[in-house]
Amino acid sequence: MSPILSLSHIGLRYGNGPEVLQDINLELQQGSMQFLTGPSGAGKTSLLRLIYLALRPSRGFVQLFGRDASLASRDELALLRRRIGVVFQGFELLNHLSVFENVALPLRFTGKRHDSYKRDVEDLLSWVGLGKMLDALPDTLSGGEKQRVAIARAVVAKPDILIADEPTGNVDPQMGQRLMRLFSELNRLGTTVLIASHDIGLIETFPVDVYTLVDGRLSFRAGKNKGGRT
Amino acid sequence: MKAERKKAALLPNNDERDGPLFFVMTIFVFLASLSAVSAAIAVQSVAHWKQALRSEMTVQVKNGNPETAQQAVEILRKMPGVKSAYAGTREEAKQLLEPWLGSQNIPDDLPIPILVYVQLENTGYPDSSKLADTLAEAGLHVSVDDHQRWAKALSRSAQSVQLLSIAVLALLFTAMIAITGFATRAGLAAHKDLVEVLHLVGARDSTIARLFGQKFVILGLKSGAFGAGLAAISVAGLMVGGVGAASFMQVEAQVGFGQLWVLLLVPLVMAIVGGWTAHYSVLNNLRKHHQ
Repeated sequence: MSPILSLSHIGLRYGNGPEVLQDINLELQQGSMQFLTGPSGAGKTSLLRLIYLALRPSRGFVQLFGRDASLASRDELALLRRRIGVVFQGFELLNHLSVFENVALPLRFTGKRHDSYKRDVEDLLSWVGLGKMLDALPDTLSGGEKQRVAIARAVVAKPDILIADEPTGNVDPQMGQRLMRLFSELNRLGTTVLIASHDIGLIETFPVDVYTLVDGRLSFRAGKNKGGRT
Repeated sequence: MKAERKKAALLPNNDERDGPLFFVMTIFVFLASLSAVSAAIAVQSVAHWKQALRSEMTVQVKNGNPETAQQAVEILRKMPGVKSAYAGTREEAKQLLEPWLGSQNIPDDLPIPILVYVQLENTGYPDSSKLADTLAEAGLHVSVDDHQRWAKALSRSAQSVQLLSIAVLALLFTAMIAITGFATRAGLAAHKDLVEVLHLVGARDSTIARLFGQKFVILGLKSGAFGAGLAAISVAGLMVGGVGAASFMQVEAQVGFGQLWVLLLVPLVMAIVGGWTAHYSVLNNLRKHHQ
């Protein structure tokens, strides 16, 4: 079975600086779930940015959904990105848009009518405990609430791949568990999930593959299910 | 009952750069509107004057004899294509000379040519040579002026005003395109994070470019309405108020009011050009600087 995502001999440097990612090889199988961990500054966010096509590698190949990303046109890149949901570490919410509008954002670019997704967005926000804050602006929310909005936005379009950068970092343990159950449920429904986290305790509670990034180099530890390989 | 939730604008509406930009674009539309209206009035007025000149001729009875003038009138009235003809008096002819000779310096025995005014039914028919030949065959010593000299001079003037206005309009449009491009790039830089988020949730470049294009079309229409409104008030004030500098407008006030439609066109064109410029500035910028 061909992987849904494949990174081959990836190197990344910013400008003329040193390589922050070195010879990264990674394959994610469709429907797999895995964690990415490592110390601060190891390059986790850079690696995730490569995967969700916010960066181009300095060397190597990124293959997504069977398509070589380096050969994709800008319009094709947009279509590939629509199949990836991202929970950013800094949330990246648009402060002039309401909670509802932030979550509905990916759906606006799919050509769907506002009426057709309004109920879905409202239900999803209720599920993450923000059903009464649909019209609130992000500036008025707590860190945990913002994180839940970011997660709702990442999953609302039912992406093929879900990438989350420290998704439980700003929520209480109870909400953290609830969000992880959401990710697991999405994974059970066929979504490939990659979660970057420092939280070893959280990682240990899931019997999935774990990638560890140290000084720009990636290592692999297989979980009970064999979802990915390096 | 809960209010219906509408789609929100993806670009913030309260951008602090919009105020000064609105002001500058209003001035551009005001100047462009004045220029366009001036050109339209000039062209229309000259066309009106040329029409009047082509529908009349003047026969000059050189010996100043009223009887000869009357003979010419009778011959002319019988000619096909002549609507009316009448002879001016010696007093009228003297008044025409007064600016050069003064009212007291024209002796009574000075032979002053008498003018016969001819109105034609159709412009330019019969032509001046036909009129001159007919009067010469009757033994009358006259000359016929079909005013073509003045018509040509008016055409040249109209062309000059037209060219000048087109040059001013082109200059204003070029400046507006440059300003819109600059403002768009500044807007993109200010909204870099927003643009990145839109990209990452799947927006195409063309979608983002359209957002900026629409913003500038709306800004263009708003500033256009103000600029064109100010221009309309100014033009109407000049035509109705009788300011000396606008005397050329007052001559054909009716014609001038008829040309105010240009004031609808200028802001519309400005808005479309502004939107188009913003759209393509964003597309170029995204291709150059964004992943």
